[in-house]
Amino acid sequence: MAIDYLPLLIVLIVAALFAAIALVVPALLGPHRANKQKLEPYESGIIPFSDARRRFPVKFYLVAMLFILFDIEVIFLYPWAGVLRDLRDNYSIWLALAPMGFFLFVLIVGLLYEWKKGALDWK
Amino acid sequence: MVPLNWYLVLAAFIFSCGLYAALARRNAIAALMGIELMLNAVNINLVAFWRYGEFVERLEGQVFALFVIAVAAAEVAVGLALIISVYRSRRTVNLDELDLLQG
Amino acid sequence: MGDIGFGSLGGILPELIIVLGGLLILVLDIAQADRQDSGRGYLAVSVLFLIVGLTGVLLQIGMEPYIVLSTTAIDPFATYLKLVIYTGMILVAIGGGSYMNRHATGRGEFWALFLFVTAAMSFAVSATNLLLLYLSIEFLSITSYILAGFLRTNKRSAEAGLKYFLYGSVAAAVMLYGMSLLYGATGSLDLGEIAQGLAANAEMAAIIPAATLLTLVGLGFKASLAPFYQWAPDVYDGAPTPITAYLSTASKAVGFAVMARVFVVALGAYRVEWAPILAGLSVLTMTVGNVIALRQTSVKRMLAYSSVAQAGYILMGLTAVVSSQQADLTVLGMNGLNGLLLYLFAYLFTNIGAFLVVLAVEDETGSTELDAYSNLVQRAPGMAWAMFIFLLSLAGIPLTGGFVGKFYVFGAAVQHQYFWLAGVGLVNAAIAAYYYLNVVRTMFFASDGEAATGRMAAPVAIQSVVLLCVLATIWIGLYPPRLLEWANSASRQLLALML
Repeated sequence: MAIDYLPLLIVLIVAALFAAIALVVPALLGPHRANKQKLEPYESGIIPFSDARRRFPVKFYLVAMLFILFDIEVIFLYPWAGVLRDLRDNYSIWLALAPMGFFLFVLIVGLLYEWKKGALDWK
Repeated sequence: MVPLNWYLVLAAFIFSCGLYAALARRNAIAALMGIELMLNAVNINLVAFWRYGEFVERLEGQVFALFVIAVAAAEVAVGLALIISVYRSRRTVNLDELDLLQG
Repeated sequence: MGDIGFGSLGGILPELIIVLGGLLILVLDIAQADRQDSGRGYLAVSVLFLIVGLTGVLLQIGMEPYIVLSTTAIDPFATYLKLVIYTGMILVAIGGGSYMNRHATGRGEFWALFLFVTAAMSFAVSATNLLLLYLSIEFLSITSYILAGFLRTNKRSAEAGLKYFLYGSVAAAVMLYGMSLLYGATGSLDLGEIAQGLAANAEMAAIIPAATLLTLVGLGFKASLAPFYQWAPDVYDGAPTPITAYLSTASKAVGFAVMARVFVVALGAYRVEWAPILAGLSVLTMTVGNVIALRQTSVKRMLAYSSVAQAGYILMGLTAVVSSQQADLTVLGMNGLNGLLLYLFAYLFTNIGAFLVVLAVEDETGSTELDAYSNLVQRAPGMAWAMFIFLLSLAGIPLTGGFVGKFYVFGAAVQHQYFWLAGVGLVNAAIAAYYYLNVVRTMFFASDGEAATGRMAAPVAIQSVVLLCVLATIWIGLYPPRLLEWANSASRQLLALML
């Protein structure tokens, strides 16, 4: 059982060794001639002018939250689509459509609500 | 095939990490992330139990995991909203500083 | 998994009506997006839909039990608890609705959530499947987090919401982990099938203690039992008072109902092993609640701790059920479960009434401290006397509803040979009487008369609901047979499901 994973272990060891050699050998053998340009975070790039971890306006969170909610709800469509044909053939088309119709109706009321309440306005 | 126990151990480990973060971190956002970890550990459990169970044709474990994902999203949305509403009035999300209610 | 179809959907018609009511309020709110609504219309619509839902539940009394879509049981036990839930929510809506309308921004949202939370509780007490159980409890929790923090500009309310959310979602995740272990042990999510699966392969018994303990964390959280109670005082204190009123009654009833169903139906075979743990939790809960309640200066916070303590008494009923060695519990007069159900009903009226008096005083004086109640009898005699009745009932004085509930849970503990538990309960009841009567003393015999300036005019809505609660408390205390009969049939039906 465990012997099956031996190749994986060998790959891991080789990868670690390679990374170690690639780091250590140039550091020992290579020339070290530092100057101002070389020490910049991005050589010949744009000079950073502020910390990247700035505060975002809170409206980003609002839109992100709403996006996540509607994004995730779609996962319920996926299993439903899987059994749709089966339900139609063995039961009735209404049994296949009505529950998802109700689910989407609830979602649409929610969407309309946030829209009309101005949660989607980017002021 | 990887034995079931490995999944269970992984899930238990992730669950414990999440529980630790949720209980020990003083930042509300970090606690929220811990809760998410706990829920995902449960998902690993559910899907592993489903795959190794006797009734693979009954998709209960998988469906449960889907529902957990959706509920987790709703929970995060509400949690973030509550954190923001506290932050607006108090300018902090440090749980130790939320001490209006005690005694 | 046979019954796919709409045939049995009639059983969940009350819940569907409530959900549609909530959606209707959202649509109404969209239709007048620009105007600032007073919220009275929403209040009326909500109460209307709740009454229709209650009527639907009343029509289900006496029906043969059946299961909708393999997940939702329509049985006397669920129906009894739905009566508790809908009654409580109607009382809270009428009594506390105008307060919320005055203080909340987003009234449409509030009333929609109020109806949704009712539907969630209603589903939770019916659920016979771990998936629906989890979904309805989470639905209840998430809406409750929002409602507890609904007064966004109020720092205390926002803090209560966040604390409730953090404690609640950790407890829910722990409970979910327990559920996943139960699923793994038995390969099923159905409570009945879990019991059969556990009976069929005995080697799975090793996983039961872990799974049950983890599940108990989540359910004990909802019912505010001792090691998981820390959220309760803070949330009850910080949340808007009408929200506190339902959180401490209807929502707590759901916690106990789900706990009873899971323990009796799914884990009934292991009940003897659980009795000591539940008994320990019960003692811990009532003692912690009462001892901390003793040194509270705010009446609202005192009632919050008292509500924790009451959860300890209620748990005595469940302890009695699981401790019994007897094979057929349904023949006992005091099986513990009927005591639990009676207690929940009596406690509903008493506690909602008490919190509405707190609300009236808070409205008038802006304070929930004990000082605000000094000489209340001169300013608002009706309110003071009503509070007197409620406090007597909470303390368990005879001729009130609280006494009947306590009588049946203590009786059940004694009948199942749990003498020490009943003894500790009695000592606790005595401690509790002290701080309840302290409020009475302040209301009637405060020495400094300086607060007695002018009469306090409580809104008619609060007055009438408080009057109703007083009448119900006394009615249950004086003439319980009808209610007892309901509780008996509900408890027998659930106990008959025990494997």
